[in-house]
Amino acid sequence: MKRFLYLSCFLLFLGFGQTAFASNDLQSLIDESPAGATIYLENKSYDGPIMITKPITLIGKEKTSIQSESIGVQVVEAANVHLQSLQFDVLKTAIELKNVKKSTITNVAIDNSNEGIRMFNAENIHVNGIMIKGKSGHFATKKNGIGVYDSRDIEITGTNIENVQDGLYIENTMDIFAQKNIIKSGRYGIHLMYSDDITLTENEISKNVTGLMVMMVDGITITHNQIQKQNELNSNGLFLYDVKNATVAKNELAENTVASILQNVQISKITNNLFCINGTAIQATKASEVVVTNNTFMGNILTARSDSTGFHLTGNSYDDYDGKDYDGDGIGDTPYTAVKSFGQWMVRKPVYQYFIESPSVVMLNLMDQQGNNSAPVVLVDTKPKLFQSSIKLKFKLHVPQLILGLICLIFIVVVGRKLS
Amino acid sequence: MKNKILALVTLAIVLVGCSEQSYEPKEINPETAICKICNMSITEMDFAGQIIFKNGDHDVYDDLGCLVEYILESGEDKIGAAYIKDAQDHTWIDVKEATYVYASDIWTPMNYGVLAFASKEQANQYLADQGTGKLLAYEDLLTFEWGIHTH
Repeated sequence: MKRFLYLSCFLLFLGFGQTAFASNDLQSLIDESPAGATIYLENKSYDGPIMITKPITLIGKEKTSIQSESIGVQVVEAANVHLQSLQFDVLKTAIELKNVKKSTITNVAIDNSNEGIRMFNAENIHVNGIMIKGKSGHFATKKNGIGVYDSRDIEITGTNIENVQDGLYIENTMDIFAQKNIIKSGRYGIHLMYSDDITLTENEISKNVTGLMVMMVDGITITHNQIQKQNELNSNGLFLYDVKNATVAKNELAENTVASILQNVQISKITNNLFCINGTAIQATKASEVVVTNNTFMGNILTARSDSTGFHLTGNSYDDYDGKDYDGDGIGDTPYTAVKSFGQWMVRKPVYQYFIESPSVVMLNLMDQQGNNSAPVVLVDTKPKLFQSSIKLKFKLHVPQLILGLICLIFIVVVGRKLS
Repeated sequence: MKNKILALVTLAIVLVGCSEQSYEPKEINPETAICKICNMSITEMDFAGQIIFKNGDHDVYDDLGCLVEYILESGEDKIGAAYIKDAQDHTWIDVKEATYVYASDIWTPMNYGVLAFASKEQANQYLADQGTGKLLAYEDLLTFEWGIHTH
């Protein structure tokens, strides 16, 4: 009788164990669900890797996570797969898509993975609201936040990516739309190679080696982006290399070592941008077909430098333009020369910046202006707009600094009164 | 005594002048190195190249294609030696002594798809293993259509 009781208890607990295990087996749950099913996940951790090969929707809760020592979720040869509200705690790649169509990934958090999301031969994919935070360490040891290869019709919006190699790496892909992404502290914010028909808009790119690295691209529109603080050695905000048909408009490029580098760029336009407090605003080689117009250059050490072919500089506004407008048409009566000998030297030897407003340098700049007025040279704007000093910069109130400042002020006033 | 010192100094200068200058490959620092041509950071050391100039300067390149582009643009007059990483053991090899393999599905940092091998036998073995690709010599690189391949 006792033996029977012990055996019953053992089998009972064994049964409980199997039930608990089954509830944690997300793969079985997916395999058993019909195509097109929606699976609502619980507030707990599931074991990966998970393989999806049919239309399915996974919807997690606030604390639903997938753990794996390799890939978190792999979607292969499927369409209409939707991953929503998931957290990933995986060593290698959180999500991988291969030959996937019409699918979405939304509201996903990926922390400390080697790679966030990668997709191959994907089509009509929408990635929205993704948080990716890479491991600490040099970017050479890490992979990309979101990698897209050999795909088309990809939309990436509202992501927040930091500490990875390239925030978005896009290769041999057509029709890409990236909007309102915040990408910082990587090698490149957005890296595009061999891709066409691209729109990058309203993204905030900061503290990378290069903000936007655009290589071998035909057809790209870059508008309303904030590209800031790429200010380390060899850093730059926007790099266009072997690019055709680019439009760079209404962006703010600020506090970059070099705001934009153009190398072998054809039939492109840079217009209505604000170049503010950069080392060099525009540096160009083999870019004679590029038109730079209606931009505002403010507080840059050097406005532009180029090879002997230059680029078209016309109708821009420069804070260091000292010409007059006697006819009142808003256009300066004398040309603006962007080339400054001292600026060129300073780019090569940054320590020269300590002499930037010395009398000899001011004299050298004046000589540049006079010399260039009498000879046709590159990088001369014959229709410079008079500088509008009322340009509104975004004002951010730093409360801790304000409080500290007030305390210091009060302290100084009190001490001053007591001493007097 | 003065004459002896003068003779020694003269001899030293002559010897230094006569000695053959060597152009050894240099270490690349991934923290700071960027490609001379495309400005990309050198994060994939196994594909890197470098040129040592006769005046002692050196430039680094992230991909063989960028290195060749520099040679095509600037000529070889000022170049002491040019090196590329061996695709198998990742040691530096002279670009003129290497054998190359091109295949459109070979990944390189610029996706030019050309790998370098220390010997023709190794390159042939790689081709046999992969079952696809094309053997190239250094001279072929100078007329190769870099950067137009899709992958």
